[in-house]
Amino acid sequence: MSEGNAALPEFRGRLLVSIPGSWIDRLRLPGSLFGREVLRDIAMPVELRAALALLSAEADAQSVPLQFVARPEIFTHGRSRAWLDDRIGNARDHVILTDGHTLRTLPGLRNHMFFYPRGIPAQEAALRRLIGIAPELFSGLASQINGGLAFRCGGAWHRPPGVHLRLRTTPDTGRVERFPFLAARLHDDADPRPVKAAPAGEALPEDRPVRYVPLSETALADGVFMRDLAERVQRAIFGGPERLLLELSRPEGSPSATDRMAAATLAFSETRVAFPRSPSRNVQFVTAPPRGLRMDSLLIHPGIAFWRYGLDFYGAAERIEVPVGTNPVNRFRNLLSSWLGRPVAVLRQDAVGEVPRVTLSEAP
Amino acid sequence: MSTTATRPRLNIDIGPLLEDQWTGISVFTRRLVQALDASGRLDLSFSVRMMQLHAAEVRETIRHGSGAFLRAQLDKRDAAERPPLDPALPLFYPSVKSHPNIVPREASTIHDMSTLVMPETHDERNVAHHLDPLRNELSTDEVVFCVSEATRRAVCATFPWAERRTRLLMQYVDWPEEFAAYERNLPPVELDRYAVVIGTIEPRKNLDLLLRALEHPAVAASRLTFFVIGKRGWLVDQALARLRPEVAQRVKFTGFVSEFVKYRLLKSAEFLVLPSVYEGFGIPAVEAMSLGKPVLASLTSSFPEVIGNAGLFFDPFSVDEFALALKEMSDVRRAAELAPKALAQAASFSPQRMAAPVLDWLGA
Repeated sequence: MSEGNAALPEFRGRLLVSIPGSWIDRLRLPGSLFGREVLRDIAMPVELRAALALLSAEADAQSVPLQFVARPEIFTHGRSRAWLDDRIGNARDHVILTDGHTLRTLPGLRNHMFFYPRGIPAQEAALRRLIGIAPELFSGLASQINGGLAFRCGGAWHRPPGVHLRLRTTPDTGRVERFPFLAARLHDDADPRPVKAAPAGEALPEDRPVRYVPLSETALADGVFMRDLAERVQRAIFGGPERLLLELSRPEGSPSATDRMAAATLAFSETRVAFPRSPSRNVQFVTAPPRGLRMDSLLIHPGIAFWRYGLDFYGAAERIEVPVGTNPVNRFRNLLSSWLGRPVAVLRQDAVGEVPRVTLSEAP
Repeated sequence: MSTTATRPRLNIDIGPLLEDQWTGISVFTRRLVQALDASGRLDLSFSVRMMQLHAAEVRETIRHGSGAFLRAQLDKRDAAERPPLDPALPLFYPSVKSHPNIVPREASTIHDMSTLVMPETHDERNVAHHLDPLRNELSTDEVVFCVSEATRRAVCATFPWAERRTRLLMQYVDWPEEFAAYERNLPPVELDRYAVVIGTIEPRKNLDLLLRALEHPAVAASRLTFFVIGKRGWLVDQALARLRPEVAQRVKFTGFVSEFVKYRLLKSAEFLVLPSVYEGFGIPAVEAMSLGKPVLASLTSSFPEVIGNAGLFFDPFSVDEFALALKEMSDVRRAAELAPKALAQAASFSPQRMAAPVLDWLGA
């Protein structure tokens, strides 16, 4: 298996970038090639926005222009390809921002993949399906940005070399709100429970260490992870040693904070762990990382687009951990540790009383 | 003396001919059968659903120009008594291979790779229909026929191992002989100056570019009306609603028209406009050129190789480029200069050219 080297690519001349075709119809394009200003005021998922911010920062750092190509797939050969080559000049690198449904390479250029919807199950599934159909597209990549994709085709393992891009500061992802944890179904018409956000500016009590846990759709769908998290939530509610801050996932379609909480409470309800039907401030939902937050522990599930946080966010955590119990955890821990340049621990499940916990690896 | 025994034999899966209305791949299949028949160098057999058909009933179906009768025959109970397809014969699929690895020598046809590179423009079932069997299909093909060099390049870029198996299989246009006589006996079309646009309303056809360009001064000055052969849908209605009424009136939608009406419209048009973002081949271009009409087409995928020097090209995402090219094409002297080139280019696509790669495969 070819291992990733995490070397920063030199984007000589200029950096060519393509975004998923599903976004093209939403843009008012001046032509097949366009600048970053076209994307400036477009509402898009935080992961895509962060990926664009990463590429913009990298292009600026290398003093190369960033140019977008609307549909790389149309420049197959001959006159159309000559037209493109004439306009992209000395570009040698093409970053494919993929949503998992396509990988539209430009033959002759160094193609780099950036799979941005990490943590969105449907798009992760689309990527897996695409690899099954056309693995050669992936084995021919010059690199994968902030990814740890590995697959076997025939007898050989393939892992496109990894490249790490990081933001210094976390991009603004909207209003920061904190809500008390409430297990009651938020959309239960028979028992509506309005949950009020903590007043703006209200500080978190400093009576116990804070564990911060970003959630995503993939994380919410991970039964082992959610069961363990639910038990930690339960202990925290009943006066356990830590305070939990759970950052709400962002399902597609810009849902409200209430919808995001509903998605989380539904996932908690499916763990069968019992919670009191009253709000708790020992466990809180947050819509985005609170400013000035100090974390004793940051728990990152493999289904989190970890690169959408800046180094300032990780720098605020004493410990960074990944959960045990998810199959690709070691690969992810290595990726995250390499990306951060600091150790990442595995958060073991707590023993219950004196009886050791049992963890199964693979099915027999 | 019969030469049947000495001619190579070929089984053609005529699945596409079971359609009621023959468009696209059904017409391609019909033309291929007729081109191979006309060569006199193959002994053709026909099959569908893994059953052998009588050659006479297939030729009768072709004479009718619809698959309704043959489909009814196949749906009868005694269809089970038909013999299974002959495994000794090479089997040719004019489209997706429905049952890979049935006989030792198989070939299939790739019309385009749009379900792989722009799945967002297709229905999910259509994507699955094309992509799920694709790898298996290509790996069991002795020859992969591609309808254009653009399609061949796209196949090879995705599946490099298939490159040695690929061959071009380009179709031709065959207007019914009687159309010219009908046309001569009818009064002239009185529609002032107009251009024809052929295509459905799907996003890939990029009709929006034309609608956006209508307000451009160069397009306004052309005084052309645009006849869109195809249905008008809500997406188009939305786009038209943004235009001033007098501008919107310059686009007329014909709805579904017969082949003869299409022939008449093209025959009296100044030129054809093809704003598609991506095409596997582009048979409307050859249809127009066969009537001496130049083509104003997107610089994309297969158009440059199909249209050659009988047209003008524009960036499919640039209103300005489109408007400039339209201005040039609207000059009657320029169109007249391109007309003979259009006829010559269309004539280069012939039954002999279509049959040749299949005959070559079989050593006929």
